[in-house]
Amino acid sequence: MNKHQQAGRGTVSVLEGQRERRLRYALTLLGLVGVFIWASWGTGFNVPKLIGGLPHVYRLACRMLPPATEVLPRLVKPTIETIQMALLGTVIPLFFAIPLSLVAALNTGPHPAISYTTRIVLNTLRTVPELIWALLLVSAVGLGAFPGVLALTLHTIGGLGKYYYEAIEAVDPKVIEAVEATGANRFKVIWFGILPTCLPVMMSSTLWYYEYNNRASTILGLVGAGGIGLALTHAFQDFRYTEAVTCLIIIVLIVTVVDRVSAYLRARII
Amino acid sequence: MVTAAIAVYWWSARGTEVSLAEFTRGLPAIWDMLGHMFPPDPSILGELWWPMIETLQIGILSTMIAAIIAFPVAFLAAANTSPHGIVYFSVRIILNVFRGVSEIIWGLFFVVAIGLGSFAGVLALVVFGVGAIGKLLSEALESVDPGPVEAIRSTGASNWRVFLYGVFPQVIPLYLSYCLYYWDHNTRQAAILGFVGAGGIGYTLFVSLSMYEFEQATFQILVMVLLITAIDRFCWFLRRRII
Repeated sequence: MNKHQQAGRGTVSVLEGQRERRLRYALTLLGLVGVFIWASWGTGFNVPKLIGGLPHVYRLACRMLPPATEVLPRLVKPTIETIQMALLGTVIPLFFAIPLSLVAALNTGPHPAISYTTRIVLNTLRTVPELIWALLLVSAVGLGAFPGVLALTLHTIGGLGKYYYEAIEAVDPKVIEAVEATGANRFKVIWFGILPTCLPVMMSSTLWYYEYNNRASTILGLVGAGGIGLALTHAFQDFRYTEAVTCLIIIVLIVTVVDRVSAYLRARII
Repeated sequence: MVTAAIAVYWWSARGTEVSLAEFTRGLPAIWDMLGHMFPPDPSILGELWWPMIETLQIGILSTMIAAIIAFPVAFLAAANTSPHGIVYFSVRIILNVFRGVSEIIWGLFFVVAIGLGSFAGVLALVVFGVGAIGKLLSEALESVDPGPVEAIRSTGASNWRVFLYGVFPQVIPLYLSYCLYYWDHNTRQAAILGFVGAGGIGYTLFVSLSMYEFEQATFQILVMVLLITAIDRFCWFLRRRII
Protein backbone atom coordinates (compact mmCIF):
# COMPACT_ATOMS: atom_id res chain seq x y z
CA MET A 1 0.00 0.00 0.00
CA ASN A 2 1.30 3.50 -0.75
CA LYS A 3 2.25 6.04 1.94
CA HIS A 4 -1.08 7.94 1.73
CA GLN A 5 -3.04 4.85 2.66
CA GLN A 6 -0.65 4.21 5.53
CA ALA A 7 -1.11 7.73 6.87
CA GLY A 8 -4.90 7.34 6.72
CA ARG A 9 -4.61 4.14 8.74
CA GLY A 10 -2.71 6.08 11.42
CA THR A 11 -5.47 8.66 11.69
CA VAL A 12 -8.13 6.02 12.14
CA SER A 13 -6.24 4.30 14.97
CA VAL A 14 -5.81 7.63 16.77
CA LEU A 15 -9.53 8.25 16.63
CA GLU A 16 -10.20 4.71 17.85
CA GLY A 17 -7.81 5.28 20.74
CA GLN A 18 -9.71 8.44 21.65
CA ARG A 19 -13.01 6.61 21.57
CA GLU A 20 -11.58 3.89 23.80
CA ARG A 21 -10.35 6.46 26.28
CA ARG A 22 -13.73 8.24 26.30
CA LEU A 23 -15.44 4.92 26.94
CA ARG A 24 -13.12 4.21 29.84
CA TYR A 25 -13.77 7.66 31.34
CA ALA A 26 -17.52 7.20 30.95
CA LEU A 27 -17.42 3.79 32.64
CA THR A 28 -15.30 5.15 35.51
CA LEU A 29 -17.70 8.03 35.97
CA LEU A 30 -20.65 5.63 35.96
CA GLY A 31 -18.87 3.46 38.52
CA LEU A 32 -18.22 6.46 40.76
CA VAL A 33 -21.85 7.57 40.54
CA GLY A 34 -22.90 4.04 41.46
CA VAL A 35 -20.61 4.02 44.48
CA PHE A 36 -21.95 7.44 45.47
CA ILE A 37 -25.54 6.19 45.40
CA TRP A 38 -24.64 3.01 47.31
CA ALA A 39 -22.81 4.96 50.00
CA SER A 40 -25.61 7.51 50.28
CA TRP A 41 -28.13 4.77 50.77
CA GLY A 42 -26.01 3.11 53.46
CA THR A 43 -25.34 6.23 55.47
CA GLY A 44 -28.80 7.67 55.05
CA PHE A 45 -27.51 10.71 53.26
CA ASN A 46 -29.92 12.61 51.09
CA VAL A 47 -30.46 16.24 50.22
CA PRO A 48 -33.85 16.74 51.94
CA LYS A 49 -32.38 15.50 55.21
CA LEU A 50 -29.44 17.83 54.70
CA ILE A 51 -31.72 20.82 54.17
CA GLY A 52 -33.86 19.72 57.10
CA GLY A 53 -30.82 19.52 59.31
CA LEU A 54 -29.52 22.96 58.49
CA PRO A 55 -31.86 24.82 60.88
CA HIS A 56 -30.61 22.57 63.68
CA VAL A 57 -27.02 23.39 62.85
CA TYR A 58 -27.90 27.07 62.73
CA ARG A 59 -29.67 26.87 66.08
CA LEU A 60 -26.69 25.13 67.67
CA ALA A 61 -24.37 27.75 66.24
CA CYS A 62 -26.56 30.50 67.69
CA ARG A 63 -26.51 28.88 71.10
CA MET A 64 -22.75 28.81 70.91
CA LEU A 65 -22.41 32.55 70.49
CA PRO A 66 -21.20 34.77 71.95
CA PRO A 67 -18.14 32.82 73.14
CA ALA A 68 -17.85 32.71 76.91
CA THR A 69 -14.84 34.71 78.05
CA GLU A 70 -15.18 34.09 81.76
CA VAL A 71 -13.90 30.53 81.38
CA LEU A 72 -10.62 31.64 79.78
CA PRO A 73 -8.55 31.57 83.00
CA ARG A 74 -9.72 28.02 83.62
CA LEU A 75 -8.67 26.99 80.14
CA VAL A 76 -5.07 28.16 80.37
CA LYS A 77 -3.81 24.97 82.00
CA PRO A 78 -5.50 22.60 79.53
CA THR A 79 -4.22 24.66 76.63
CA ILE A 80 -0.66 24.49 77.86
CA GLU A 81 -1.14 20.79 78.53
CA THR A 82 -2.28 20.29 74.92
CA ILE A 83 0.79 22.03 73.54
CA GLN A 84 3.08 20.08 75.84
CA MET A 85 1.48 16.78 74.89
CA ALA A 86 2.07 17.47 71.22
CA LEU A 87 5.70 18.46 71.81
CA LEU A 88 6.57 15.44 73.88
CA GLY A 89 4.56 13.17 71.64
CA THR A 90 6.74 14.18 68.70
CA VAL A 91 10.13 14.36 70.40
CA ILE A 92 10.16 11.22 72.53
CA PRO A 93 9.40 9.00 69.51
CA LEU A 94 12.54 10.29 67.79
CA PHE A 95 14.69 8.22 70.12
CA PHE A 96 12.82 5.09 69.13
CA ALA A 97 11.86 5.77 65.56
CA ILE A 98 15.34 6.46 64.23
CA PRO A 99 16.95 3.20 65.40
CA LEU A 100 13.81 1.21 64.53
CA SER A 101 13.72 2.66 61.05
CA LEU A 102 17.37 1.75 60.53
CA VAL A 103 16.46 -1.82 61.42
CA ALA A 104 13.36 -1.79 59.24
CA ALA A 105 15.04 -0.44 56.13
CA LEU A 106 16.23 -3.20 53.84
CA ASN A 107 19.51 -1.48 53.03
CA THR A 108 20.58 -0.92 56.62
CA GLY A 109 18.79 -3.68 58.50
CA PRO A 110 20.55 -6.76 59.86
CA HIS A 111 18.33 -9.31 58.10
CA PRO A 112 15.26 -9.06 55.87
CA ALA A 113 13.14 -11.14 58.25
CA ILE A 114 13.95 -8.78 61.12
CA SER A 115 13.27 -5.82 58.88
CA TYR A 116 9.86 -7.06 57.85
CA THR A 117 8.90 -7.95 61.41
CA THR A 118 9.87 -4.46 62.55
CA ARG A 119 7.78 -3.02 59.75
CA ILE A 120 4.73 -4.94 60.89
CA VAL A 121 5.22 -3.63 64.42
CA LEU A 122 5.59 -0.06 63.14
CA ASN A 123 2.55 -0.43 60.93
CA THR A 124 0.40 -1.66 63.80
CA LEU A 125 1.55 1.22 65.99
CA ARG A 126 0.55 3.77 63.40
CA THR A 127 -2.66 2.17 62.13
CA VAL A 128 -4.33 1.94 65.51
CA PRO A 129 -5.88 5.38 65.82
CA GLU A 130 -4.25 7.44 68.56
CA LEU A 131 -7.61 7.89 70.21
CA ILE A 132 -7.84 4.13 70.71
CA TRP A 133 -4.32 4.06 72.14
CA ALA A 134 -5.31 6.84 74.48
CA LEU A 135 -8.43 4.98 75.51
CA LEU A 136 -6.49 1.82 76.33
CA LEU A 137 -3.83 3.72 78.23
CA VAL A 138 -6.38 5.72 80.20
CA SER A 139 -8.02 2.44 81.19
CA ALA A 140 -4.62 1.19 82.28
CA VAL A 141 -2.89 4.11 83.99
CA GLY A 142 -5.75 6.47 84.71
CA LEU A 143 -6.83 9.89 83.53
CA GLY A 144 -4.59 12.81 82.79
CA ALA A 145 -2.06 13.99 80.25
CA PHE A 146 0.37 11.14 80.85
CA PRO A 147 -1.60 8.49 78.94
CA GLY A 148 -2.14 11.10 76.26
CA VAL A 149 1.58 11.58 75.80
CA LEU A 150 2.10 7.81 75.76
CA ALA A 151 -0.63 7.35 73.17
CA LEU A 152 0.82 9.99 70.87
CA THR A 153 4.30 8.56 71.38
CA LEU A 154 3.24 5.05 70.39
CA HIS A 155 1.36 6.23 67.34
CA THR A 156 4.15 8.56 66.24
CA ILE A 157 6.88 5.94 66.63
CA GLY A 158 4.94 3.94 64.08
CA GLY A 159 4.27 6.86 61.77
CA LEU A 160 7.70 8.45 61.82
CA GLY A 161 9.34 5.05 61.69
CA LYS A 162 7.56 4.34 58.43
CA TYR A 163 8.50 7.68 56.83
CA TYR A 164 12.06 7.32 58.04
CA TYR A 165 12.66 3.86 56.67
CA GLU A 166 11.12 4.84 53.35
CA ALA A 167 13.55 7.75 53.23
CA ILE A 168 16.47 5.53 54.15
CA GLU A 169 15.59 3.06 51.43
CA ALA A 170 15.32 5.85 48.89
CA VAL A 171 18.94 6.89 49.39
CA ASP A 172 20.91 6.69 46.17
CA PRO A 173 23.10 3.57 46.39
CA LYS A 174 25.92 5.50 44.74
CA VAL A 175 26.24 7.66 47.87
CA ILE A 176 26.51 4.55 50.02
CA GLU A 177 29.10 3.10 47.64
CA ALA A 178 31.12 6.29 47.74
CA VAL A 179 31.35 6.30 51.52
CA GLU A 180 32.05 2.58 51.63
CA ALA A 181 34.88 3.12 49.14
CA THR A 182 36.70 5.26 51.70
CA GLY A 183 36.94 2.14 53.86
CA ALA A 184 34.39 3.24 56.44
CA ASN A 185 32.76 0.61 58.63
CA ARG A 186 28.98 0.08 58.64
CA PHE A 187 28.27 2.59 61.39
CA LYS A 188 30.23 5.33 59.69
CA VAL A 189 28.51 4.58 56.40
CA ILE A 190 25.17 5.16 58.09
CA TRP A 191 26.28 8.22 60.04
CA PHE A 192 28.09 10.03 57.24
CA GLY A 193 26.48 8.59 54.16
CA ILE A 194 22.84 7.70 54.69
CA LEU A 195 21.64 9.90 57.53
CA PRO A 196 22.79 13.27 56.12
CA THR A 197 21.11 12.42 52.82
CA CYS A 198 17.74 11.58 54.39
CA LEU A 199 17.89 14.34 56.95
CA PRO A 200 15.79 16.89 55.00
CA VAL A 201 13.02 14.38 54.33
CA MET A 202 13.15 13.16 57.92
CA MET A 203 12.88 16.69 59.29
CA SER A 204 10.04 17.48 56.94
CA SER A 205 8.16 14.36 58.07
CA THR A 206 8.84 15.15 61.72
CA LEU A 207 7.51 18.69 61.37
CA TRP A 208 4.45 17.37 59.57
CA TYR A 209 3.91 14.88 62.38
CA TYR A 210 4.24 17.64 64.94
CA GLU A 211 1.36 19.47 63.22
CA TYR A 212 -0.63 16.24 63.13
CA ASN A 213 0.04 15.49 66.81
CA ASN A 214 -0.95 18.99 67.73
CA ARG A 215 -4.35 18.43 66.20
CA ALA A 216 -4.57 14.97 67.75
CA SER A 217 -3.73 16.21 71.23
CA THR A 218 -6.72 18.53 71.11
CA ILE A 219 -9.05 15.56 70.89
CA LEU A 220 -7.38 13.06 73.18
CA GLY A 221 -9.14 14.77 76.03
CA LEU A 222 -12.28 13.15 74.67
CA VAL A 223 -11.30 9.94 76.42
CA GLY A 224 -9.85 11.64 79.43
CA ALA A 225 -6.28 11.90 78.28
CA GLY A 226 -5.85 15.52 79.15
CA GLY A 227 -5.66 18.78 77.30
CA ILE A 228 -8.34 21.03 76.04
CA GLY A 229 -10.33 18.18 74.53
CA LEU A 230 -11.44 17.27 78.01
CA ALA A 231 -12.76 20.77 78.69
CA LEU A 232 -14.50 20.72 75.31
CA THR A 233 -16.19 17.37 75.93
CA HIS A 234 -17.40 18.42 79.36
CA ALA A 235 -18.74 21.67 77.97
CA PHE A 236 -20.69 19.82 75.28
CA GLN A 237 -22.02 17.25 77.72
CA ASP A 238 -23.13 19.89 80.19
CA PHE A 239 -24.80 21.89 77.44
CA ARG A 240 -22.44 24.81 78.09
CA TYR A 241 -22.24 25.65 74.43
CA THR A 242 -20.73 29.10 74.76
CA GLU A 243 -17.88 27.56 76.69
CA ALA A 244 -17.54 24.87 74.04
CA VAL A 245 -17.09 27.43 71.31
CA THR A 246 -14.43 29.21 73.38
CA CYS A 247 -12.57 25.91 73.51
CA LEU A 248 -13.04 25.52 69.75
CA ILE A 249 -11.63 28.96 69.09
CA ILE A 250 -8.62 28.21 71.27
CA ILE A 251 -8.12 24.94 69.38
CA VAL A 252 -8.21 26.70 66.02
CA LEU A 253 -5.72 29.26 67.34
CA ILE A 254 -3.34 26.60 68.63
CA VAL A 255 -3.49 24.73 65.33
CA THR A 256 -3.02 27.85 63.23
CA VAL A 257 -0.08 29.08 65.30
CA VAL A 258 1.64 25.72 65.18
CA ASP A 259 1.02 25.45 61.44
CA ARG A 260 2.64 28.85 60.93
CA VAL A 261 5.59 28.02 63.18
CA SER A 262 6.00 24.75 61.35
CA ALA A 263 5.93 26.44 57.94
CA TYR A 264 8.53 28.95 59.12
CA LEU A 265 10.80 26.24 60.50
CA ARG A 266 10.34 24.30 57.30
CA ALA A 267 11.47 27.24 55.20
CA ARG A 268 14.44 27.92 57.45
CA ILE A 269 15.72 24.42 57.95
CA ILE A 270 14.90 22.53 54.78
CA MET B 1 19.49 26.90 71.20
CA VAL B 2 19.91 23.32 72.38
CA THR B 3 19.64 24.31 76.05
CA ALA B 4 16.46 26.22 75.26
CA ALA B 5 15.02 23.15 73.53
CA ILE B 6 15.92 20.90 76.44
CA ALA B 7 14.38 23.40 78.83
CA VAL B 8 11.13 23.37 76.86
CA TYR B 9 10.94 19.59 76.90
CA TRP B 10 11.74 19.46 80.62
CA TRP B 11 8.94 21.91 81.27
CA SER B 12 6.61 19.84 79.09
CA ALA B 13 7.52 16.66 80.92
CA ARG B 14 6.88 18.29 84.29
CA GLY B 15 3.57 19.66 83.09
CA THR B 16 2.26 16.39 81.75
CA GLU B 17 3.67 14.30 84.60
CA VAL B 18 5.79 12.31 82.22
CA SER B 19 8.68 10.70 84.00
CA LEU B 20 10.39 7.37 84.13
CA ALA B 21 9.03 6.84 87.64
CA GLU B 22 5.48 7.41 86.51
CA PHE B 23 6.04 5.09 83.60
CA THR B 24 7.42 2.27 85.73
CA ARG B 25 4.56 2.74 88.15
CA GLY B 26 2.14 2.38 85.27
CA LEU B 27 3.74 -0.71 83.75
CA PRO B 28 2.07 -3.29 85.98
CA ALA B 29 -1.30 -1.70 85.22
CA ILE B 30 -0.59 -1.86 81.49
CA TRP B 31 0.48 -5.48 81.79
CA ASP B 32 -2.65 -6.27 83.77
CA MET B 33 -4.73 -4.57 81.11
CA LEU B 34 -3.07 -6.55 78.35
CA GLY B 35 -3.99 -9.70 80.24
CA HIS B 36 -7.63 -8.70 80.14
CA MET B 37 -7.47 -7.85 76.48
CA PHE B 38 -6.02 -11.09 75.14
CA PRO B 39 -6.96 -13.46 73.66
CA PRO B 40 -9.18 -11.47 71.29
CA ASP B 41 -12.74 -12.75 71.20
CA PRO B 42 -14.00 -13.21 67.64
CA SER B 43 -17.57 -14.02 68.61
CA ILE B 44 -18.64 -10.50 67.83
CA LEU B 45 -17.68 -10.82 64.16
CA GLY B 46 -21.26 -11.34 63.01
CA GLU B 47 -22.30 -7.98 64.43
CA LEU B 48 -19.39 -6.21 62.82
CA TRP B 49 -20.15 -6.64 59.12
CA TRP B 50 -22.69 -3.88 58.83
CA PRO B 51 -20.68 -1.32 60.86
CA MET B 52 -17.64 -2.12 58.74
CA ILE B 53 -19.54 -1.44 55.54
CA GLU B 54 -20.99 1.67 57.12
CA THR B 55 -17.50 2.92 57.95
CA LEU B 56 -16.39 2.37 54.37
CA GLN B 57 -19.44 4.17 53.07
CA ILE B 58 -18.90 7.14 55.36
CA GLY B 59 -15.31 7.39 54.19
CA ILE B 60 -16.11 7.17 50.48
CA LEU B 61 -19.16 9.40 50.48
CA SER B 62 -17.60 12.15 52.53
CA THR B 63 -14.48 12.21 50.36
CA MET B 64 -16.54 12.40 47.19
CA ILE B 65 -18.73 15.24 48.41
CA ALA B 66 -15.76 17.10 49.87
CA ALA B 67 -13.83 16.70 46.63
CA ILE B 68 -16.72 18.06 44.56
CA ILE B 69 -17.23 21.08 46.81
CA ALA B 70 -13.54 21.77 47.36
CA PHE B 71 -12.77 22.10 43.65
CA PRO B 72 -14.64 25.37 43.00
CA VAL B 73 -13.92 26.66 46.51
CA ALA B 74 -10.18 26.28 45.93
CA PHE B 75 -10.42 28.74 43.06
CA LEU B 76 -11.82 31.33 45.42
CA ALA B 77 -9.01 30.72 47.85
CA ALA B 78 -6.10 30.97 45.41
CA ALA B 79 -4.51 34.35 45.01
CA ASN B 80 -4.28 34.12 41.24
CA THR B 81 -7.84 33.01 40.61
CA SER B 82 -9.79 34.66 43.38
CA PRO B 83 -12.21 37.37 42.17
CA HIS B 84 -11.53 39.81 45.00
CA GLY B 85 -9.20 40.29 47.96
CA ILE B 86 -12.01 40.11 50.49
CA VAL B 87 -13.28 36.85 49.03
CA TYR B 88 -9.74 35.47 49.09
CA PHE B 89 -9.17 36.27 52.75
CA SER B 90 -12.55 35.18 54.05
CA VAL B 91 -12.55 31.87 52.15
CA ARG B 92 -9.03 31.19 53.36
CA ILE B 93 -10.04 31.79 56.96
CA ILE B 94 -13.12 29.58 56.61
CA LEU B 95 -11.05 26.76 55.10
CA ASN B 96 -8.54 27.13 57.90
CA VAL B 97 -11.24 26.78 60.52
CA PHE B 98 -12.72 23.78 58.73
CA ARG B 99 -9.46 21.89 58.76
CA GLY B 100 -8.05 23.27 61.99
CA VAL B 101 -10.81 21.82 64.09
CA SER B 102 -10.24 18.09 64.22
CA GLU B 103 -12.75 15.87 62.43
CA ILE B 104 -13.74 14.23 65.65
CA ILE B 105 -14.75 17.53 67.14
CA TRP B 106 -16.79 18.25 64.03
CA GLY B 107 -18.33 14.83 64.58
CA LEU B 108 -19.24 15.81 68.11
CA PHE B 109 -20.69 19.08 66.84
CA PHE B 110 -22.87 17.47 64.19
CA VAL B 111 -24.03 14.69 66.49
CA VAL B 112 -25.17 17.32 68.97
CA ALA B 113 -26.77 19.34 66.18
CA ILE B 114 -28.58 16.70 64.13
CA GLY B 115 -28.44 13.52 66.17
CA LEU B 116 -26.56 10.24 66.31
CA GLY B 117 -25.78 8.14 63.30
CA SER B 118 -23.60 8.08 60.25
CA PHE B 119 -25.19 11.16 58.69
CA ALA B 120 -23.45 13.33 61.28
CA GLY B 121 -20.21 11.50 60.55
CA VAL B 122 -20.50 12.18 56.83
CA LEU B 123 -21.14 15.88 57.42
CA ALA B 124 -18.22 16.14 59.81
CA LEU B 125 -15.79 14.57 57.36
CA VAL B 126 -17.17 16.65 54.48
CA VAL B 127 -16.55 19.87 56.39
CA PHE B 128 -13.04 18.82 57.31
CA GLY B 129 -12.35 17.46 53.81
CA VAL B 130 -13.44 20.67 52.11
CA GLY B 131 -11.05 22.57 54.34
CA ALA B 132 -8.15 20.21 53.80
CA ILE B 133 -8.53 19.52 50.07
CA GLY B 134 -9.53 23.11 49.44
CA LYS B 135 -6.42 24.49 51.07
CA LEU B 136 -4.07 22.05 49.32
CA LEU B 137 -5.74 22.60 45.96
CA SER B 138 -5.58 26.39 46.34
CA GLU B 139 -1.87 26.13 47.01
CA ALA B 140 -1.50 23.97 43.91
CA LEU B 141 -3.39 26.53 41.86
CA GLU B 142 -1.13 29.28 43.12
CA SER B 143 1.96 27.40 42.02
CA VAL B 144 0.74 26.70 38.49
CA ASP B 145 3.44 27.21 35.87
CA PRO B 146 2.43 30.32 33.89
CA GLY B 147 4.38 29.15 30.83
CA PRO B 148 1.86 26.74 29.31
CA VAL B 149 -0.99 29.05 30.27
CA GLU B 150 0.58 31.94 28.39
CA ALA B 151 1.37 29.70 25.46
CA ILE B 152 -2.25 28.67 25.06
CA ARG B 153 -3.52 32.18 25.63
CA SER B 154 -1.23 33.39 22.84
CA THR B 155 -2.96 31.06 20.39
CA GLY B 156 -6.04 33.22 20.89
CA ALA B 157 -8.00 30.58 22.77
CA SER B 158 -10.99 31.65 24.85
CA ASN B 159 -10.62 31.90 28.64
CA TRP B 160 -12.39 28.61 29.12
CA ARG B 161 -9.98 26.79 26.84
CA VAL B 162 -6.98 28.46 28.43
CA PHE B 163 -8.16 27.02 31.70
CA LEU B 164 -9.02 23.62 30.31
CA TYR B 165 -5.76 23.03 28.50
CA GLY B 166 -3.37 25.21 30.49
CA VAL B 167 -4.31 25.11 34.16
CA PHE B 168 -6.41 21.96 34.40
CA PRO B 169 -3.79 19.39 33.30
CA GLN B 170 -1.33 20.80 35.81
CA VAL B 171 -3.58 20.57 38.86
CA ILE B 172 -5.52 17.39 38.08
CA PRO B 173 -2.76 14.91 39.14
CA LEU B 174 -2.31 16.79 42.41
CA TYR B 175 -6.08 16.98 42.90
CA LEU B 176 -6.51 13.23 42.41
CA SER B 177 -3.55 12.59 44.70
CA TYR B 178 -5.11 14.69 47.47
CA CYS B 179 -8.50 13.02 46.99
CA LEU B 180 -6.97 9.56 47.30
CA TYR B 181 -4.97 10.60 50.34
CA TYR B 182 -8.00 12.01 52.08
CA TRP B 183 -10.10 8.99 51.19
CA ASP B 184 -7.60 6.91 53.13
CA HIS B 185 -7.53 9.46 55.94
CA ASN B 186 -11.32 9.81 56.06
CA THR B 187 -11.90 6.08 56.29
CA ARG B 188 -9.45 5.98 59.18
CA GLN B 189 -11.30 8.80 60.91
CA ALA B 190 -14.70 7.32 60.09
CA ALA B 191 -13.65 4.32 62.13
CA ILE B 192 -13.11 6.53 65.15
CA LEU B 193 -16.02 8.89 64.61
CA GLY B 194 -18.29 6.14 65.81
CA PHE B 195 -16.85 6.88 69.18
CA VAL B 196 -18.80 10.10 69.41
CA GLY B 197 -21.86 8.41 68.03
CA ALA B 198 -21.40 9.02 64.35
CA GLY B 199 -21.79 5.43 63.22
CA GLY B 200 -19.47 2.68 62.03
CA ILE B 201 -17.11 0.34 63.85
CA GLY B 202 -16.12 3.02 66.36
CA TYR B 203 -19.54 2.87 67.88
CA THR B 204 -19.53 -0.90 68.50
CA LEU B 205 -16.05 -0.51 69.99
CA PHE B 206 -17.34 2.17 72.31
CA VAL B 207 -20.19 -0.08 73.40
CA SER B 208 -17.85 -3.03 74.03
CA LEU B 209 -15.48 -0.93 76.07
CA SER B 210 -18.32 0.60 78.08
CA MET B 211 -19.40 -2.90 79.01
CA TYR B 212 -15.81 -3.82 79.91
CA GLU B 213 -15.75 -6.56 77.31
CA PHE B 214 -12.08 -6.08 76.61
CA GLU B 215 -11.49 -9.23 74.61
CA GLN B 216 -14.23 -8.27 72.19
CA ALA B 217 -12.78 -4.79 72.04
CA THR B 218 -9.36 -6.16 71.11
CA PHE B 219 -10.90 -8.13 68.29
CA GLN B 220 -12.67 -5.05 67.01
CA ILE B 221 -9.46 -3.04 67.13
CA LEU B 222 -7.83 -5.83 65.13
CA VAL B 223 -10.62 -5.65 62.56
CA MET B 224 -10.25 -1.88 62.44
CA VAL B 225 -6.53 -2.18 61.82
CA LEU B 226 -7.09 -4.70 59.03
CA LEU B 227 -9.73 -2.52 57.40
CA ILE B 228 -7.55 0.57 57.49
CA THR B 229 -4.55 -1.35 56.17
CA ALA B 230 -6.66 -2.76 53.34
CA ILE B 231 -7.82 0.70 52.29
CA ASP B 232 -4.23 1.93 52.60
CA ARG B 233 -3.02 -0.72 50.19
CA PHE B 234 -5.90 -0.15 47.81
CA CYS B 235 -5.18 3.59 47.73
CA TRP B 236 -1.53 2.89 47.05
CA PHE B 237 -2.52 0.61 44.19
CA LEU B 238 -4.92 3.19 42.74
CA ARG B 239 -2.25 5.83 43.05
CA ARG B 240 0.17 3.81 40.96
CA ARG B 241 -2.46 3.16 38.31
CA ILE B 242 -3.82 6.66 37.98
CA ILE B 243 -0.98 9.06 38.72
